[in-house]
Amino acid sequence: MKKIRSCYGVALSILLLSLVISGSVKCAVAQGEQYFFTLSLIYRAGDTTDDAIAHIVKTELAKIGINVVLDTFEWGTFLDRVFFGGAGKTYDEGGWDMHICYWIYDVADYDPRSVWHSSAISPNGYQPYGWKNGIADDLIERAEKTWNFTERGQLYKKFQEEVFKDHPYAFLYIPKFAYVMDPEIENFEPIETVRDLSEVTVRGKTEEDDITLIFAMGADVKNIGPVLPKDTWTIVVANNLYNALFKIVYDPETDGYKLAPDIAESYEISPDGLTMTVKLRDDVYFSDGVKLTSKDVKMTIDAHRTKETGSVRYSIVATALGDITERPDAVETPDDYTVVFHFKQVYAPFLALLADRGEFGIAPAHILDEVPREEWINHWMNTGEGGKYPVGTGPYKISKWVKDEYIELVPNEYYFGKKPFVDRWIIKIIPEASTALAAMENHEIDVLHYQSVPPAEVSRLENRTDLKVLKYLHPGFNGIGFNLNHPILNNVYVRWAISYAIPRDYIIEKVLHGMGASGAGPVPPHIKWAYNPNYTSAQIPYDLEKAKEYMEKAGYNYEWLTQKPAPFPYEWIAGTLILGVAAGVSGGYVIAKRKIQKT
Amino acid sequence: MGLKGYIIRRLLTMPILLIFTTLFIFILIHLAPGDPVQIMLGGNPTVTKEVIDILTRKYGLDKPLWMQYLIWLGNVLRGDFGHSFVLNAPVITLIGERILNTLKLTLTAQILAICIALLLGIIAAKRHGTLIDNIISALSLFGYSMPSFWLGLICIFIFSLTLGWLPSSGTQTLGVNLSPWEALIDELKHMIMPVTILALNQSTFLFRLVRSSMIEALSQDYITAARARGVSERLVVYKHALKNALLPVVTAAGLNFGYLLSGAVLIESVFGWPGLGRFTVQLAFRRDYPALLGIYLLIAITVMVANLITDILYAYIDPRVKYGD
Repeated sequence: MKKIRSCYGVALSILLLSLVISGSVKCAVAQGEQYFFTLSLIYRAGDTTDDAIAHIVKTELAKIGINVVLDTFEWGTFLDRVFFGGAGKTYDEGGWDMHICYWIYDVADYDPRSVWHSSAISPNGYQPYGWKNGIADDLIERAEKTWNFTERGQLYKKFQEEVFKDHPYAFLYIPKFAYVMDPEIENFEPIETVRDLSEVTVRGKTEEDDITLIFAMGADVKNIGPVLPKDTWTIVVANNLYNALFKIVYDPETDGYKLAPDIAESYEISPDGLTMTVKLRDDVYFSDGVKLTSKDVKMTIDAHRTKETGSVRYSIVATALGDITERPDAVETPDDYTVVFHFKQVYAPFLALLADRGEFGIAPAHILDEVPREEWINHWMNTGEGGKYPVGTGPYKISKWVKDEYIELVPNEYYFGKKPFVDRWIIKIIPEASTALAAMENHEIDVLHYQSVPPAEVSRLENRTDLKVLKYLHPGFNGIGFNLNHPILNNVYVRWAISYAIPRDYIIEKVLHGMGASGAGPVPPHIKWAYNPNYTSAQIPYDLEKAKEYMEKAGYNYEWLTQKPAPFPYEWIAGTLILGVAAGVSGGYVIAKRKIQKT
Repeated sequence: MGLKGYIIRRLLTMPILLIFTTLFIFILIHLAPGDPVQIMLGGNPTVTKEVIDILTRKYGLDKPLWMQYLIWLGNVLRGDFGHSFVLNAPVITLIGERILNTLKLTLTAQILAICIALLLGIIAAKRHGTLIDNIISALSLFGYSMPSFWLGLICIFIFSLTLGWLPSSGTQTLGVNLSPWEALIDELKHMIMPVTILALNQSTFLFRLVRSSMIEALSQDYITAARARGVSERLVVYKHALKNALLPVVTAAGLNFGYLLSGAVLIESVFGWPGLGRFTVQLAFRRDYPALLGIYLLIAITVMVANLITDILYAYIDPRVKYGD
């Protein structure tokens, strides 16, 4: 009996010892972990890049006295938290404090209203920050009221300065992506809204050769019909099926992009800016042999300003031309090859839409005019149901579509432009990026979409002589959004402090493996006329001293922080107590049992 | 008579079961946060609230949940399985386009798995406790623990990239003209990796069943009696013991039927196989309620029918099983 008691004595001393050690360790750790406040940072689950960035941000912000709690959400939930259900709420209220998210832009034009204007504050629009800046709002509004790109550009450059100074968003980098392809493939434009597959050529082959190329991407297309919204995969195909009034072309003069006529032969805007007359080419045919006329153009544009169609461009088109019910004759067709736009007001972002082949590609009125607009989404033109494929005027048409497996494109014999060099494109769907990359390395495919090329693999692939890696700067940006409704983040100095504490160059080098570039701001650098290089992420070095300076400006005193006693580690001690008791009791039991057995 | 009555009774209870199952799935799907319309349009900042509202109304998502379910149920009873939000096509068409691919993959794998499991299970049971048994058992445990996703990638690396023997993905070589015979060979080549990995994964589990039930069967008195009567060992094993040992295997295979339809999600993804499993995952991420419900309904029906068939098979395999009063 005595022996058993002594065993429990041993157990008790083990317990006490562990308690003392763990308590002192925790206190020591807590001494170095003193924070002014805690913020949450949310990002998309499964995104390894954002995950790595989030952990870096957490580590760095700890150095300036900010505790960051990380949380991830699946895409649908993330959207809901940031833009809809959780809009304007802090993390604790079911919203967010800071989030990582990237934005993709088009190179055709710049329209900041939907993402930066105060009228677009979520849940009414896609400005989740709750940023209200009268100067910026005014600049956006003024820029919308002129068709002149130079004038607009000046206003956007000033707008960019406002975003920079007010810092509702800490810009981190401009993403770089890479296409991988056979080295013989040439003239492949990486920017998807500019790319024209009919311009792609193959070195060592002539136009007489029968050439088939396989282009692999991660998901099947949807909404392949005109007018309806297109995602990044659908653009790959849709942009080759249709032509819009204009197109976007690379401009070597500015190293940027500009509008050029496509179906339009010429256009003229009246001095008051309220009427635009577009002359059409008279040699344009749909892939079923029917000639394109101004009727087709009118129907397409009008469909965008009919709510029921489901166009995501409704608000821009309706702002410029008015809703179809309100101004039915805003688009007129005096003859078969003339279209006249009567604008409700000058609304500059409208013009570039006319160069979007995916959503503003001209639809065939002889097929769709009879169909109620709300039924367009279910029509075979949009779904390819029953083996009937979209009819457009573009260089290619779909000849076969096996859902989730592949789409085959062959030249449209009625195409008004030059006959394409490549006679057959097979768009193959490979959802898993690693498998797609293996197929590329195994030469089962000829071109691999950028979304299937992991950044970490790029330098390895570049060393292979049997593959060509086409790296390019993607129009868009990645960064950290601040919730200005949060009482702490509402202070601009705190936002700047956080911004200075982020090691952007380190992230570009180590996390992105060089697949990103400095110079990120609300305007992508591709849009030369609007981009202001003086107010971008490149102007914010990693500087903890400066970050602390800003924290002090915001009223946070580091002296107070270091003197502040570390919080007593109640939870830690309670945890240790439970574990210690368990360890002590079981240890004591084992020892006691042994001793009893010995006796 | 008893069996017939039993079947009729089972068939009659099926609709009630289906209603409960689909209701449960309906609630589960709607419990996931996120609005399909927002996901559909998400990321496009030019969409106005007006457009979102129109779409919400169009898809009937503005109605209360119970009404949405009743509408769906009513449509199903009239033979209309709904329209996918995401792909704007009838759910039945979408399933039809993919189900064959999934069945090709999973049925072949299932048959292969049963063959492997029976063969190895009998060998292991006959040599119970020997080195061969231990080796096979250890290998099966290894195979069972191996994630199929990872195994798939490793196989692609070895057989496609390094050796160049097999194609890495898809169901056929694209961009070439093949004769029907060549096309068949080509398709079989594409099937080798996904089918084998799926079959290995399935067979390890079935193997353990076959092995343990064979060991049990072989130790029964009637086996000893048969041996004592001088019945040949082959007959003892394959006729007397195997017939009894098959019962749990049939049960397992029947229960697996739902899995066959929902497909091998991971394998389909890794090998770019355009089947139902991969499709279901895409739909779940996009909260495509009607399409998901349609697929789950199909799976539920299949599982119920498969279970019924399994139960009927029981009566034939095991004469002791009697249904009815």
